[in-house]
Amino acid sequence: MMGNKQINLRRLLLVVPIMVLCTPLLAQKKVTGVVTSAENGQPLAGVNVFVSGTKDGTATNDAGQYSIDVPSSSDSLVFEFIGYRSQTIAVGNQTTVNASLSLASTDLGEVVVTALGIERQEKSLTYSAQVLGGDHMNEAKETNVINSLQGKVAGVTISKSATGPGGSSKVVLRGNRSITGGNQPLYVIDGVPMNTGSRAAGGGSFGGRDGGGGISMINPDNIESMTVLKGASAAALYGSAGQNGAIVITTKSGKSGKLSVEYNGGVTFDEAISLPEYQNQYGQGDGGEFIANSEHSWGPKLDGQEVTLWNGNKVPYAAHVDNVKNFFRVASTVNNSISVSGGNEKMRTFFSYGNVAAQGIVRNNDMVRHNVDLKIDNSISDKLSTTAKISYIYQDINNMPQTGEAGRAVQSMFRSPVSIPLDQMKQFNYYNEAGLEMQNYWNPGSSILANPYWQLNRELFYEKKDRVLGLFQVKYAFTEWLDFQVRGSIDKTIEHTDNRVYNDTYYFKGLGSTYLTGDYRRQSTNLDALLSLRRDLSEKFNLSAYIGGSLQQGQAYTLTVDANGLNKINFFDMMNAKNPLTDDSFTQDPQVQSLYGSATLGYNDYLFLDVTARNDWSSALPRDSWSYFYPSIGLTGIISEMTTLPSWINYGKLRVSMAYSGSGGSAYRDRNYFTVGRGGSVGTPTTRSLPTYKPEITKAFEVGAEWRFFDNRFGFDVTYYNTDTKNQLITLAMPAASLFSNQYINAGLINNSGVEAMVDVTPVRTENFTWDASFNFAKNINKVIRLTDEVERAIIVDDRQVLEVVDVGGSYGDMYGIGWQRDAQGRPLVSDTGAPLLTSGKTVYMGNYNPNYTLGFNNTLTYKGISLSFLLDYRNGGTVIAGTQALLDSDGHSKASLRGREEGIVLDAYTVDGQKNTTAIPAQKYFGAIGERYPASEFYARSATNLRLRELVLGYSFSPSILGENGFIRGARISLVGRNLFFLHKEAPFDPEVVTGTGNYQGIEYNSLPSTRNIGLNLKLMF
Amino acid sequence: MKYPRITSIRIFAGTALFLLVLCWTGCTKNFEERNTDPSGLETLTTEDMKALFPTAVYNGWNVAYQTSQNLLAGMYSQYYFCTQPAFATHRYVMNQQWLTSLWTGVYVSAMPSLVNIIKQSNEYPAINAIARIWKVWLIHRYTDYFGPIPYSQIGNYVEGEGVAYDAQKDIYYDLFKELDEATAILEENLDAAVSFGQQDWIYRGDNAKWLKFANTLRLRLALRISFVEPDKAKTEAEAAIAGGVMEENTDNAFIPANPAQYNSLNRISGWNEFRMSANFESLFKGYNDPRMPIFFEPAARDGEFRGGRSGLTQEDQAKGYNTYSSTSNVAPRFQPNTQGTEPMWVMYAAEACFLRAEGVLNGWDVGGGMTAEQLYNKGIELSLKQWDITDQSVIDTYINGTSLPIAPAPENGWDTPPLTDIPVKFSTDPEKQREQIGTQKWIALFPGDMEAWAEMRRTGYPKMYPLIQSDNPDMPKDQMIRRILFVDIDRQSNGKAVAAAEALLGPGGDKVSTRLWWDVKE
Repeated sequence: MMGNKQINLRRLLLVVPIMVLCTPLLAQKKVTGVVTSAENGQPLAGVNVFVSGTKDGTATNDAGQYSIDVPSSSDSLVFEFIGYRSQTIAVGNQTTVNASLSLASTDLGEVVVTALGIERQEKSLTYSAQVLGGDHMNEAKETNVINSLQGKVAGVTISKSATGPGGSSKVVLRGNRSITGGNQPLYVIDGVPMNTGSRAAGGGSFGGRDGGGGISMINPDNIESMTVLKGASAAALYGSAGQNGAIVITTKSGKSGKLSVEYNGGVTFDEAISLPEYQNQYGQGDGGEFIANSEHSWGPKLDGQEVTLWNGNKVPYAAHVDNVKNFFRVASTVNNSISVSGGNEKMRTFFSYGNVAAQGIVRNNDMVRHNVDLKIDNSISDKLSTTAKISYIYQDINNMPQTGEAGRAVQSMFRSPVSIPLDQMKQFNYYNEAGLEMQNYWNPGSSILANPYWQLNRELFYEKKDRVLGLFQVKYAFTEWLDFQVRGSIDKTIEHTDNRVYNDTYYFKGLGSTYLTGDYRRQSTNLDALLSLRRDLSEKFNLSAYIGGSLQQGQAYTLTVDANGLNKINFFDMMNAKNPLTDDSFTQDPQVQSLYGSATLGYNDYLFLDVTARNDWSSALPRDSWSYFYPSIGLTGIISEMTTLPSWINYGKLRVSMAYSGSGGSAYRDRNYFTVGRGGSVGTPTTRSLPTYKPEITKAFEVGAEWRFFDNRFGFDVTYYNTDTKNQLITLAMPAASLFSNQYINAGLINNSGVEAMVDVTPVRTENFTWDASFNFAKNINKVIRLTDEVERAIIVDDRQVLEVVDVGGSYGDMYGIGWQRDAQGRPLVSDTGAPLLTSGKTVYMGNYNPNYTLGFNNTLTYKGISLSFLLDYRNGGTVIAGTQALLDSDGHSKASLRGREEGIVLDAYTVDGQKNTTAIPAQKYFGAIGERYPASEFYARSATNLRLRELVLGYSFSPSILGENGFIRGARISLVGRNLFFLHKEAPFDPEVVTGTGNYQGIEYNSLPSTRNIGLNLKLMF
Repeated sequence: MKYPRITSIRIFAGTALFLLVLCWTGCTKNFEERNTDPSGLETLTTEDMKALFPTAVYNGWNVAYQTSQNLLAGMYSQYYFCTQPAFATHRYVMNQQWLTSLWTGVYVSAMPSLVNIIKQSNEYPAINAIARIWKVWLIHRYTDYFGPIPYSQIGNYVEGEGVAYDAQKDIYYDLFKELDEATAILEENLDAAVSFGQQDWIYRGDNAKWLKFANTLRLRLALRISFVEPDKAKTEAEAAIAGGVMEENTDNAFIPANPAQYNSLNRISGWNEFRMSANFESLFKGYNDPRMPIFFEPAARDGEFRGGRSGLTQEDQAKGYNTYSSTSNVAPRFQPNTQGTEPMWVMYAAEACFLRAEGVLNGWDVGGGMTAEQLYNKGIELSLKQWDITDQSVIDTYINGTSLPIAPAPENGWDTPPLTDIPVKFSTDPEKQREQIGTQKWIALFPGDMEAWAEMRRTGYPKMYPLIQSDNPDMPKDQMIRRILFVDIDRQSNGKAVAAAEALLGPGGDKVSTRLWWDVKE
C-alpha cells in the first residue's frame, strides 16, 4: 500500500552517516574567526582561508567560522570566496580575526563562474553577471530554491505555479523572446546542463498537474553560489539552450583542512494569504429564494433563522465567511541538512544529506525529499586531478493541487455557498442501501463542483521521483598555464504516478471508480572536453583561451495506464481495470554537437577583449543543414585603472558586448508523419512540417557601467541591452481547410530592450554597526517587429478567459478577451433587458501580462552578531485576469456581488438605438452574464502592481567566546525568517504572482491555490 | 616572466583540429535516424491507407461532440435544454472558442484521412467510392451549420489567398454528383477484391449496405433542397429510390463504440449539463410514446419524467423543477457506464421512410407502390422496432393513437401549452400530414440532433417552444436560430476567403439570423 511506504520513508528523517576524514596540521598559533557577508551580515560558508604566501588553508563552516593554525612567521590571512572580493587581513598578535566580504561585482580581481564552468576574473567580463552566494538561499529557504532569487536579481521574473510544495516556477530573464518555444533559462550545475524536462506544466483554464521542474529538487544548502547570466552574450558559449540566459550553479566542495561538520535546519510555517473576499449578507439559494441544492449565494438575506440543509441537518441561516480560511491549514515545513567536509591536498571530500518534509496548506498535500550528495576531488599528481560527484534525490508528493478547474478541492471550496457551515461539509460521505460509499454534496452530480472534502479524501494523486545526477571530470595540466579537461555527466529521473478516483466522484460518473498510473523516465547526458590556456604574452598582454567540444543528448519515455473504470469498486489495482487504455511515448531530444572557443586578451590588466565562437550541429535540423555558427565579441575597460580619477572614485568600469546565439530547435519538425492510434487506426498530421527548418538566432547587444565611490560605500552597476530574436520557429494557425491546423514557419523578429540597474549603499559603517542597502531595478520593453509578410498575428493560446497573441506592432503577452460591445462613440451597449451586450469573440484588448518594471530594495543591518535583513519587492504594471473573482461574482459569494442585490443594477450604458439605459438588471443576471466560467474578461482585468515585504531575516551568530574556544560546537547561528510576509500595496484581489501554469500562457488567476506567508526558525551549527 | 613556447601552441591547435575532424567525419552519421519520429509513419501502405478510414469515421462523427454538437444542434433542435449555468449557446449566443474545435475537428481531424484515401485509392474502386460517400455525409452536416464552407478547394492552400469557400448551392450540386458517381462505382464493385473489410467500422465490408446508405443520403439531401429547387430535388430523390435506399433496420448505420473510441453522448451525459426538453415531454406524454423510457430516465428528484424549456437563464436553471435533478436525463443506455459499447447513430431506415412519405406528398415517384400514410406508418414501426419495441399490438396502438400532446410540467414555473395539436394517427389535412411526418421523423432521428435541427429549419416541423430568453439581439427568442457563425480562427488565418464567403451569404451576412440557401420556407 502506498500509505505505508510513505510512512516508512518519513521515518528515515535524520539518518546521518558519519564520515571521518582527518588531516593533522602542524600548528604554531591557532587563529579563529567569523567570515560574514558585508552585504547582509550573514555568515559565509565555504570561504577559503589561507595563510598568506602558502597553500595552507581551511574553509569556513556554515556558521561562517573557521579555525586555522598560523605559523608565527606569517603575518596575514587571505579570505577567498567565489563571487566575493578577496580580503587580506593582518594577524599580528590577534587570535581572533573576523572578515567581512563584499560581493565581487563591486570590485576588481574577483572570480566568477561563467559559461562551461570557466572561472573568470570579474573585471574582465564584458557583460553583466550577477552572483548570489549560497547564504541567499539557505537561510530563508524555499523548497524550490529558484524562488529565492525573486527580488534579489535585477531582470529576473519568477512566477510560481500555485501548486504547493514541489511545484515548478517559470523564470524569465530579460523578457520573453520566443513565441512558441520555451522562454526559460538554462540551468547549469558544476558546468553541466541540467535536464529540465517535466511530466507536465499545468496551465489553462481546465488546468492540470504541475510536474515539478529539474531545479526544484536541488538542496539549497549545497549551493555555494549562483551566477545569473542574463544576456545572450553571457550564454553565447552554451549554444541552443542558453539563448534565454543561464543560471550557473556551483555546488560546495570539500576543503582541505580540518574535518568540518555542519548542520543547517529549520522549521517554517505557511499560511494562506490574499484569499477572496466573501459577502456575509445573503445565503445559499437563487433569485432570493433559499434552495438547499443551490451552488450559489443568491438566496434571501441571512436572518439566523433555522434552515434545513441538503443533508437534513438544521442550522441557522448565517454567514460563515471564514470557511475558506479554515479549510486551509497552517502548514509546516521541516528541513535538515548536514554536511561533512574535509581532506588534504591529495583528496577532498564533501558529503551532505538533506531532507525536507513539507506540508501544503491543502490538508492532504505534503512532500518529502531526501538529497544525498557526494563530491570527491582528487589530486592524483601535480598534473592530474579528478572530480567525481554523485547526487541522489528522492522525492514524493501526496496530492499536489492542480491548477485551474482541475484544482478541484480548492475550486469547490472557493465556490461554496457562504451559509453552509464547514463542519457540515466535512461529513463528505455516506453509505447507500447497497453499502456503497457515496459523496455527500448539496447538489449531487454537479458537473463542475463537488464536496471539497470528498475531493480531498477521495481523489488521490501520489507521485514519486528518483533522480541521479552524476559527474566525472578529469583534468590534466600540461603546464601551469595549459590544461585539458574531459567531463561526462548524466541526469536521470525515474518517476511514478498513482491516481485514485473513488466511486461517485462526479466527473467520472458512471465509470465508477478509476485508477491511473504513469511511469516516466527522462535522462540527459553530456560529454565535453575543454583545453584551457592562460598566459602572459608579454609584459602588458595576457591571454586566456579555451577551446572545446561537447555532445549533448536527452530522451524521455512515458508509459501511462488508465483503468477506465474498475470492476470491483474502489479496489485500486490494474488487474481490476474495466477497460484499460495504455499510452506510451518515446521522444529523443535533438542531439547537439558543438565546437567552441573563446579568448580573452587583456592589456595591462585594465582593458580586455573577449571573443567567443561556437558552432553547433543539431539533429533537429534538416539533412545537411545541421550546422550553424554564432560568435560574440566584447570589450571592457577599467577606467579607474587607466587614468587617475579623484580619490573618492574607487572603481570604474565600462563594458560593451555583442553576441549571437542560436537555438537548434525541437526534434521531428522537418517532416510530416502519420500516426498510429489506439486500435491501429492511422491518423494524419495536424501541423505542417518545415522542411527548410532553420535555427533561431538571437542577436544581443549590451553596454554597462560599474562604478564605486566613497570608500566603496556607494556603487552602481547599470546595463542597457537590446536583443533581436529572429528566424523563430513559430506555430502559426493555417486555414483548417488546408487540412492542417497549424504550420511551422521560421519567421519573426522580436525585440527586447531594457535597463537593469543595481545600486549599493552603505549609509552607516561603524565598528559594530553596519547598514547596507541595495536596490535593483529592471525594465524590459518587448516589441514584435515582424512575423511574415502576410501574417500579422500568431496565437500563443486561445483559452476561455483570454486570447494571448503576438501581434506585429504589439508586444509579447498581449491579451484579448470578451468585452462590452460599444457604439460608434465608444459607449457601452445594453439590451432592452438592461443586460450588457458582449462581443462574441475575444476582440477587446485586456492589457499585457508582463510588468512595466520591477524594483527590489534589500537592506541589511548588522550589530555585532545580530543582523536584520529585509527585502521589499515591487512590481509595476502588467495585467492579470481575475478568473476566480468572475466565478464568485456570478455565484453570488463575493463581496462584489452585493452590488444591486435588492434594487438591481442600472448599467451606465446605452441601448442599441442610442438611448441612455434606464432598465435595471437583477444582480444575479448581470454577474451571470459577465462572470462564470466563460467570463467577459474586460470586467475582470486587474493590474498586477504590488509592493510586498518579500523576505525578512533576523539572525544572531554566537560568538566564539560564548561557544568556548575548543567546544564541541564550534559555531552557531540562529535566525528568524519570514517570506512573503505582507503586501504594502496590491491592486488585484489575489497575489498576482500565482499563476495557472509555467508555460508561455500567463496572466491568468483561476482557482489558484492562494499564495502563502511563510515564517520560521533556522539554525546553523558547526562541529 | 615566461612566454609560450611554440610546442604548447601546437598542442592547443592540434587538439582543436582533432575535435573538428572528429565532428565533421563521424558524429552526424546518426542524425537523420535520431530526428525520425519512431512513433510516426512517413508513407502509407495499402493496409495503412485502409486504417485511415476508422479515423475519418469516428473523428467525423465525434467532432467537438459536446461543445459543437450537443450544445448547438442538441439545443437548437430542442431535443434537450441546458442545465449548466456557464453555457450560453442555448440562449443563441455563439462561443467562438468552441467553434474553433469544431472547425479544426472537421477539417484537420476527419477530412485529411478521407482526402488521403481518395487520393491513394484509384486502384481500389470500392474503397474510393465509400470514402467519397462518407465525405458527403461529413460535408453536408457542416454546410448545414454554416452555409458556405471550404469544399472544392479543400487541401488546396494558396499562400496569400488561403482556402476559398464555396456557395452552399454549389456544394450541394457537387455532393449529388459525388453520390451519383460513387453509387455507380459501388454498384459495379459490390464484391471488390480490395475493400475496407474490417476497417469499415460501420458495415464491416458489406458494400451493398454502403450503396443503400449512399442512396438514403442522396434522398435526404434531395428533400433538403425541395423548397428551393423542387425540380432538382425530384430528380435526385427518384434517382436515389431507383438505386435502392435503406428499408430495414438491418440497413441502419451505426459506429460501434469501444473504450478508446467511445460514444461521446454517453460521456457527456454524466456531467448533468443537459436534460430532456419540454418538447419531448409534451409529445411523449401526450402520445404515451413507448420510446420515452428508452430515450430518457425519470428525474432523480421524484421519479417523474419531466422536461425543461429552452433558453433558461442561470437563475431559472437553479429554481423550482428546472434543475437537472428535477428533470430527465437521457436513459442509462446513453450514460457513461456504457460509453464503450453503445453504438453511435449515423442514419436509420426509419428516416428513409419519412423522407419518402414527404416525397410522395410532393408528387414524386419515390413511394415504390406505397402511399404517404403507409410510408409514415412504416417509418414509425421501424423506429419503434429499432428501439426494441417489437410487440405488434403496441406498435399498432401507437400508430393509430389519437391522443394529443400535453402541456408539460407546470411545476417548472412556465405556462407552457402543448407543443402542437396533432395526434400520431395520420391526418387527412396535407399540411398536418407534413407536420406529422416532420414530428415523427424528429423523434425517430434521436439522438441525431444535427439532422433534426436542419430539418426543423427547412420545414418548420416539429414546432418549437420559444426560448425563455435570447441573449443574442440578432435572434428573437420566439424564432428558430438559422445558422452558426463563421469561425473567428478562420477569419484570422483565412481572412480573404471568409470575407468572400460573407458575400455568398447574401444581404443577411454573417449572422445567426441569416437563412441558408435551402432554407426558404416561410
